[in-house]
Amino acid sequence: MTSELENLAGLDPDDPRPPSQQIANVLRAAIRTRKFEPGERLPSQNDLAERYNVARETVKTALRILRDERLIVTRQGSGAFVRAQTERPVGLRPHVEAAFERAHVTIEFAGFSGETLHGVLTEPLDKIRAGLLTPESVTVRILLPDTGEPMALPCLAETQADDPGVRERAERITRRHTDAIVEAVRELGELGLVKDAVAEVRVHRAAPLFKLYILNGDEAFFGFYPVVEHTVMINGQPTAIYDPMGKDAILFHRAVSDDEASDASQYVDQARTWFDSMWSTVSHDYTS
Amino acid sequence: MNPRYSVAQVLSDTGPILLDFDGPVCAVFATLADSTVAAELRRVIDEHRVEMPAHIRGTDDPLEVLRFTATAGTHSLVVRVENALCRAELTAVDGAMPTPYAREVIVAAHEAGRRIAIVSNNSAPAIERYLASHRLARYMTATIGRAHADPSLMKPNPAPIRLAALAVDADPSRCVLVGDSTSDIEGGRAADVRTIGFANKPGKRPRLLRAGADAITEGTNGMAELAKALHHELPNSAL
Repeated sequence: MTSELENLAGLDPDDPRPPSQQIANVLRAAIRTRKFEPGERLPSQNDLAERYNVARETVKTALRILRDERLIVTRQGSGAFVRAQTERPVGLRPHVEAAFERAHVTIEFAGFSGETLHGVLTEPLDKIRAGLLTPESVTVRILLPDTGEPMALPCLAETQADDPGVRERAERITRRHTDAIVEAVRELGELGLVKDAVAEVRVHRAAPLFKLYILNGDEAFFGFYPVVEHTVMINGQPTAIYDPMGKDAILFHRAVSDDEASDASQYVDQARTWFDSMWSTVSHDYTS
Repeated sequence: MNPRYSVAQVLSDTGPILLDFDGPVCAVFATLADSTVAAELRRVIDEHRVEMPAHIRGTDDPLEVLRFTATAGTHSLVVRVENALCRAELTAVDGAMPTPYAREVIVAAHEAGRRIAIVSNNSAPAIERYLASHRLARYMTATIGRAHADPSLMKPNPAPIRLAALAVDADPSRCVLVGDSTSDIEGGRAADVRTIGFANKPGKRPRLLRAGADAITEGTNGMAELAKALHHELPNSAL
């Protein structure tokens, strides 16, 4: 254990990010480079706290970040372990943040509400505002179902039929997130922090069945939306609806490699083709 | 006369929900009329040349006709009438009318982590057929239907209600039975479960109260009151 601790990179005193984030970054890198094998136990919280001269709470926060990314599992009383699955679901957040380190950033999203997208964009956009990231251009393209037209999903559970009240609820949730993203990106342009800042939203009439993120055109994340039934309040009345549920979806990650014929390269290429085709054919501007 | 408790109070005091079927979940005889089915059962009895009193001749309630056979005929007649009723119920449920907000009660109860069972004087295959076709079967821990050819075991007999409590693995006092007839309330009290009377028709409220219902919800949309109370238990109920 001691040698493993010594092998872990130290923290950069000039790094403005909180120590918990930096420790998470170090551990993430160690896991990705297989310094810790799947199934292996990470150094204890006390050992890590001592190694980095931080409070145990800080280590806990770092581990929580990795757990949220599904890189580790924590077991009460016995510590944190690297997840054993070989096909490990990968967290979107660090990849989005890494994508913003490029000079020209493009983020494309197709899905239901943009709630997760909003969540993962907040930090990189904040960093641009704080001057910690300085991309020349940022392009965000969001492709969503049109809540102004009858929808196959979400729908009333009893009749499986479209319902204007159900759509208004979806519209409200969608708008909250897309408005915030569009606003934040445009602001970066207006403030002159990003030379070319564009955020566009288009809507189509297909049902939202999955979510797809394309980062800088060379990475794709894909997740299924299972359909779940739940009760929501529509016009003051409890209403059972069928709803696409993306919150707990595992995202599958593919990244372009040097081998153009590889499965992952073709996957990302096809994802881009699909996105561009939807964007330029059956969708239209989302107007307020 | 007022109930002792509100619907929300009874729900917050209890866990598993036992639902009567015809009334709280749907109107079974909405398309195929109950009077038609009652007449069909009387035809079976007539074939056996068994005399029927005037109130049986005149009733629209097939269950009342079935009950009568147990007192007046041979067991083979009970079986014949029972089978005829089972067949009619299977047809009837295809045209049954969902009770407003029944689905919301079931889904919200499921979301709140409560077990749900049906305890009904209708036959289990018909109930299960309805639940499957409305995509509700997955929410049910158990479906307790009418005992075959033994009408004495129907509610208000507490036996099926006790069976339902056993099926949801709870002490009866932790269960709440929702029913729209006095037999539900009387059976529920005898089984020591809590009861919510669903007064879905004018005039039912005083009868359900006299039978001893702990709480009453009233009107055709009465199930909404249960659904709202259950929905408020959910952590994301603001959405």
